[in-house]
Amino acid sequence: MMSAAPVATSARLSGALLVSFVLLVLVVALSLSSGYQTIVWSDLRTDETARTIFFQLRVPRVVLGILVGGSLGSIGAALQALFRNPLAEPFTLGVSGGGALGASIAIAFGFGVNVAGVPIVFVAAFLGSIIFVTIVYRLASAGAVIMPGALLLAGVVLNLIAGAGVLMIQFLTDYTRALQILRWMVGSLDVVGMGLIVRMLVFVIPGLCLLLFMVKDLHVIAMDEESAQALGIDVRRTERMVYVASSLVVGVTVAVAGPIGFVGLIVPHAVRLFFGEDLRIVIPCSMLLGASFLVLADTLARTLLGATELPVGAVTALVGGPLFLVLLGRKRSYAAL
Amino acid sequence: MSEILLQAENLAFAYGVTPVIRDVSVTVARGSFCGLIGPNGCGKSTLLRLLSGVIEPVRGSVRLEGRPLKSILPRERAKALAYVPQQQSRIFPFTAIEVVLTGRSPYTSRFGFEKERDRSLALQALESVGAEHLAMRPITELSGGEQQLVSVARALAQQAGLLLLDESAAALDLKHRARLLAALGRLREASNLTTLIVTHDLQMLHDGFDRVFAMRAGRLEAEGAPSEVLRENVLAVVYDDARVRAHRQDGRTFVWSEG
Repeated sequence: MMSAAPVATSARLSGALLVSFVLLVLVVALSLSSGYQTIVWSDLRTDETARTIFFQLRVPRVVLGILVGGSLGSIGAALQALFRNPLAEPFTLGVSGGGALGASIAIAFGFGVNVAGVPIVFVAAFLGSIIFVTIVYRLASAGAVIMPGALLLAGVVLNLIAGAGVLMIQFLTDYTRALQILRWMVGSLDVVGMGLIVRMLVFVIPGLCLLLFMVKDLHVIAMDEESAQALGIDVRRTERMVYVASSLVVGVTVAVAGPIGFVGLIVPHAVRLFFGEDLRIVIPCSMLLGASFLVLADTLARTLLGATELPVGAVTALVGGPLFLVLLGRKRSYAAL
Repeated sequence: MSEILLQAENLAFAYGVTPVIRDVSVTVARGSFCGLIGPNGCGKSTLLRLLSGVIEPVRGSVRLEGRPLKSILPRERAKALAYVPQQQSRIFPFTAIEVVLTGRSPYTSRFGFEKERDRSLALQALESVGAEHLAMRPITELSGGEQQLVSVARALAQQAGLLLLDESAAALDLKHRARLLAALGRLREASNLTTLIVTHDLQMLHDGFDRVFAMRAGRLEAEGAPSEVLRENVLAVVYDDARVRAHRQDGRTFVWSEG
């Protein structure tokens, strides 16, 4: 008989969620209290400027960081499971690129347009993302098999095409809009007020709920597709659900914060390292830790050089890019790469 | 002799335009122990996929306990029929027990976790194939044979009445192969388990097997008791090899080709 009986999954989930949540609270507290402008807590009641900085700039920025980081982390974990590829994430699969292209087109034609309170740019980014993820999947699948190499290659090429498309739009559109696109393409959590964030939630909440709805299926699919089918899971339906969920969430986060890379790669790997492989734990914890990671990266980005603010997308790419290469170098530990 | 569990009639299937299964009819009795043999590429794995419901035939039908297989909800089907594919992707280092526990997923709700009972069933399944010592090992670090044991254990954890195994004993050593067959035999005694196993190891098909199906080029070439199918004249046609030799001893048939 087994002496070391494994701890029940539900108990492991509670533990992992607790640790991740406490970490997020600490990171949020750190982020709210640091910045170029030192804020004395007691001033918030009396000082109008301090209040504006805190509530119009710092709080929305942290909330946006939580939303974007949580989205990218959990979507990354889901895509890795779905494609059974540890290097998959919104950025490497071209989901972000598609969203960026869609968003750029929308910006070039007028940023401020809303339909029923929803910015056109969100819808365009969603469409761009879902079109790209569908193309990547079609290119990489031969029958029922997804070729891991082709998957990443297709993602990279589509990202290049998207990048070229964005450049073209920048070139053709007028100067101010071009600058707007350029700044946004680097990835930044610069946001004023909560208005935009509330509108993002219209996309992000249904997307993440859909994703959490699929975690049990993804857990089984991550092991093997055909076995999952034999266990009664509708793999094709799960795929469609995850495409819709990731396009909803990634499209909108890209539209607001730009294509921030590698959060969806680093975070799920760290989570697996600490909490094991069970996707029912990995996906929710990647959400919490993705939020912590991006808020922390953004705090560094805006405080490291004093008054000069670094783009957060560059910070995550500088950390994530090399890590991607390390993982690629260790590919022998992943059998099918 | 006994009740029909699985019945396939006039199955046909093609990957693209290449026909792989051409008009195959198979009947499997409840509680029987069956082998499926044939040369490489003759359609054994595809037939097993069709019987498992993972793919649907172009023509023909599969019935499980008299009901059309495709009318059974996938989750319900997974409680009645367990299928172990020949090849499985092993990318992430899930532990063996995590893999076996997914055999319980047809029984757990969408947001529910496995209960203590599921856990003990999973451990029992590992134990019955002689792999309990692998429970906490990452699946990616196991040998091919050990991975096969874990896959079969997952299928056993499904507690289905019918097991469809695609070369699940191929990478096993002598002792573990015998132990696996013995475990399946015990389950047949205890719960009337029905097994259909694809194999290239013909001497594994001892007289304890009720039926052997032999395929060739997408068709069923021969079927019957091991002593009827594992004969030189039959095997020569099935494997398209006139130099195949068969020798019976102690209820087993030893088969080789003089090449």
